[in-house]
Amino acid sequence: MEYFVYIGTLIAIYATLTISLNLLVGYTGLISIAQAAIYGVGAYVTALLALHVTNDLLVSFALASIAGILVSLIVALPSLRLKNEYFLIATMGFQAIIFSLFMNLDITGGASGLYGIPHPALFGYTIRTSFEMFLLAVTLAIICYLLALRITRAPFGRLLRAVREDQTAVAALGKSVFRIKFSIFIFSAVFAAAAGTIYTYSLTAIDPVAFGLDESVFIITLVIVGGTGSLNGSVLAAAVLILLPEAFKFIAIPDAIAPQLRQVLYGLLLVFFTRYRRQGLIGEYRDVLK
Amino acid sequence: MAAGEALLRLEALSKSFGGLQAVSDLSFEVRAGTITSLIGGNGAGKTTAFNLITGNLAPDAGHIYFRGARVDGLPPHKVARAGIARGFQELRLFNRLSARDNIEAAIPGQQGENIVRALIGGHALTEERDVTQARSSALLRDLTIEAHAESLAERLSYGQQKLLSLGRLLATEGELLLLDEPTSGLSPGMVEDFCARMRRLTDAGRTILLIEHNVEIVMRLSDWIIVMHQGGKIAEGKPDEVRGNVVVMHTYLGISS
Repeated sequence: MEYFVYIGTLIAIYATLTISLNLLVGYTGLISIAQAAIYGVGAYVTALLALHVTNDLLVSFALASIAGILVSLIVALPSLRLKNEYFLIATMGFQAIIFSLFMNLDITGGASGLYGIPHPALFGYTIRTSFEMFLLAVTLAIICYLLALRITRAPFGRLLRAVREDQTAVAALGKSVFRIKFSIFIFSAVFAAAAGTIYTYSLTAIDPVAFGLDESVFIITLVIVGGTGSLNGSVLAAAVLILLPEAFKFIAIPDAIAPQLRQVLYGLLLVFFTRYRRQGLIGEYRDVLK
Repeated sequence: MAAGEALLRLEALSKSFGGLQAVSDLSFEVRAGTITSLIGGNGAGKTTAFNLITGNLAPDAGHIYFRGARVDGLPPHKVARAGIARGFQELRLFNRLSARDNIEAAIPGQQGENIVRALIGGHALTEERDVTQARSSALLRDLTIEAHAESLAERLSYGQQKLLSLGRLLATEGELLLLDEPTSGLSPGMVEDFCARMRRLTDAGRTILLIEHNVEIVMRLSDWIIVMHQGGKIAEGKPDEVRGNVVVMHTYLGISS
């Protein structure tokens, strides 16, 4: 039972991360490979707070989000000047820098990370069970989904898609591309960092590997498999791609090669979807990555 | 602004790219309520002049005044908000948005375009949406593409895309419309339709600055013509005056006297 609760928590965390990245990639056309860095900043800020200052959940969410926003604004800056391909490379470099900081700073515990993180407290009540953490993760995912739905259906969402299609034309219509991009980067960062908070409190131990380039590529794989510009697709992809490798555990594959098989599977899915099914599982648009 | 007054004024504008002087010491005025045409051969600097006016390029020297206030140095979206709406020769439609969304994205001052307001939601936004939809429906109807309102822009015919591009400009409520080859690639019937539309727009108080290669259209439609050659202005005047100008005939129209 504990195992299923853990898988469910992971699915909710990844659904949140995928939706937050889809808003950048699928809606706005900003292909960022730095989402795991923002997620990691949220996770580390939460861990450090819990270890040294407070385990108050709301304070953790607030400060993790603020840190996530600050870091994401640094990612956002080059997007204002660089064309898509160059922006992608810039985010990849940024991801590498943040990962290297997690790996090498004393305060982040280096390669072994941080552990022994206390349980969080919400309004004085300590959340101890993994089932409670699962409920928390699902609540965050639902809030993220509903708010993303709201903004994408509003005139603001129309502007996001317009920026994806042609920034020069958006500016010529009197709309500030700068404001649109910064707004969505901030929204996206809040949820990526909050997912980091949930992750830290669920596992009570974190290390840099969970927030590396592989992780960023994995999140963008979820966006593509689910369908760029589809919120439902993001949730579905998170569920399918977390569950699928777990299924390996029930068939006779030795533990020694299971992780490698997982990577192979993700790689194959990425190739398949970009080559044969650009709209993803249930996405609307086919050519965002063309 | 009253008809006949200078709505847009360029003063000694210059722009070079490396060694190429794309626009040099260019000065002219566009009077409110008129159709003013910029003509000249390829490379004469017409599109560069547009890019300078809209803030897509910064001038090396000179100033641009719109309604008496300087607009050079402003970013494109602020120039647009000041009331200068620019159409592109290559249209630059939002291809994978519906025709209606293309129009609605251009309507100014929508609260729902602010992410915080969008998150809060509420009755005001619902009302705003109704107003926006009524406005886009009216524009699409006037452009005769109402039946394609929900089609993606990329699915429309070229003529319909040109109309949609014009509609997007009109939706901005800009007072001055910069049109870059609005009739190129259109059938003769649609060219006539466009000319009639442009005339109706100026009758309704808008002002048009036009880049157009079709000399016959320019002569028929323009109130004022500015002739550019190698980045500078070589002549300007009413259509008859320009037609009678020997230099223009020689350099632009290729007719030797």
